Amino acid sequence: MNYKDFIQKVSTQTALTKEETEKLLETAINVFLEQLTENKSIGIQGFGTFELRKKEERIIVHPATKKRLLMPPKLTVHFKSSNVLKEKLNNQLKNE
Amino acid sequence: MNNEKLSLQEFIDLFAQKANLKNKTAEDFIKNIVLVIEEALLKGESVKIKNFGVFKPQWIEPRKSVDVNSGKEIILPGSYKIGFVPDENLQNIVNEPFSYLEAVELDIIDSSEKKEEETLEPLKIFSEQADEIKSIIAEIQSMSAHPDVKISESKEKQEKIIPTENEDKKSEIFLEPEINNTDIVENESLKHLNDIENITSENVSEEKQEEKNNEIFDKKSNHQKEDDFLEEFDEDTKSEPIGIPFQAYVPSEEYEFHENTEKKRYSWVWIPVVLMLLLGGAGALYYFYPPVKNFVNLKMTKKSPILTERSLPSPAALTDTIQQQRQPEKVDSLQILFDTPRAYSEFIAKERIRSGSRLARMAKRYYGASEFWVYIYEANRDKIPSPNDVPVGTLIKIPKLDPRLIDVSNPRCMEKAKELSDLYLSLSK
Repeated sequence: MNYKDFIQKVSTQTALTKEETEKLLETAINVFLEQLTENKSIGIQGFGTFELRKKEERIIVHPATKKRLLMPPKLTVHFKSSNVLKEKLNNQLKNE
Repeated sequence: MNNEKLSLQEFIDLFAQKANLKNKTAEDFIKNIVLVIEEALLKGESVKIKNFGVFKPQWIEPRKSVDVNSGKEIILPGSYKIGFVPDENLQNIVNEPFSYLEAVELDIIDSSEKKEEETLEPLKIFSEQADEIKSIIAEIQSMSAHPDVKISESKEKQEKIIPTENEDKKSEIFLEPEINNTDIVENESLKHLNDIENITSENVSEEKQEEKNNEIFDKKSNHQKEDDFLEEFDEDTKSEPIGIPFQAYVPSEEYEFHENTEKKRYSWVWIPVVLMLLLGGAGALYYFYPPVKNFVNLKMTKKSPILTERSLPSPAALTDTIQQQRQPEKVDSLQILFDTPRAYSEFIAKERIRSGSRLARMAKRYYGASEFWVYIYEANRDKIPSPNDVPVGTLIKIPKLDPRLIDVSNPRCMEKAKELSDLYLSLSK
């Protein structure tokens, strides 16, 4: 499902126009980011948790040039799905 | 690393505030979003949200694992999980604190490690043969350990010859893998076979020659019994080099080879270490041996006079040529400043010397360059017997200095400070 379909679906469900939906979603994402950058994790019940995680620095070998590179540490957004959702997903998809 | 967990309700409150919505509508909106995502995921679809990321159901294959309690191997069944890949924008914003970091190339370690890998491959191939050869060598050695000293001597000679020969060959082997990296294993193993064939045939012929010499020599000089034994021994060894396929000699070759690669590896490690030591030595010499320092300083100072001379029309009054060269008019006031004995009346700070304290470090802190420690020393001369030996517990006064005197950007200030430090260091000796 791409972004367009997604907005379409949400707007019909919330009875908002697409523009409104997009705008709201944008603010939601901004608030979300603000919280994340303050190092807070955000849990959504029945869905999962978003949190900031630090990936440690590591050495990689460039596959083409065979050069060894030291990659710096970085922060990423990590999503851990809740077990409820995971079970639902497994039941649904495995039965198909 | 998480300090706080935000519940959905808290998040919705914040969102409602920001978007000027009632809490209820905000909650509906967020819940709907989550619902839509969930629905799509349950259908097995991925969901892409602009500026946020992609959610995607992922199939994890069944995999083997070990039961921690029983230690038995178990098979974990395959399952679906939800993968989330953050959008690039989101990623960049989140990674702000580390954004200045870049990947660094590790070159030196790279080449040495590569060599290691390359050279270890053929070793494995021949490792089986190694055992065979070990036993044969042991046989030969047990024979040579017998009475005649000369035999063992000649043995030693043989052994000496073999390694040197091998080293030449090895350096060749070493170069070759670097050129063609692609099918290293095949090529290398082939080359090894060839090389080894050459070496072993050479060794065999040499051995034969040596043995013949022994035979003649020993027969002339030795008793009957020993002769008998020798003949036996010779027969054995003669038949061995011919009878044993070249493979038999490979392992010994391989051991040598292994040793050599290790040496190579070490040499790689040692090069930077030796360089560091040399640099350290040079630095120490520079700091602790005044003549060297003077010499270096002289060389360095030559530049500045030339530059200043050019910028100024040469003055008519050429009273003192040396003075002229070194101190052009413009900086003469500085020279006067340098030459006037410094009177320390104002102080900006006091420090107590602890073990590990250094005047130079204080100078770096207060004046911006470690060279200016001399002025601290001058101001506290009554308390410090020698600049190299400041008693712990001494209360040091940090003098206030004319800013022109400690201008870090002015090479003449540094020069002066170095001159003084040379003077004091040589005095203290």
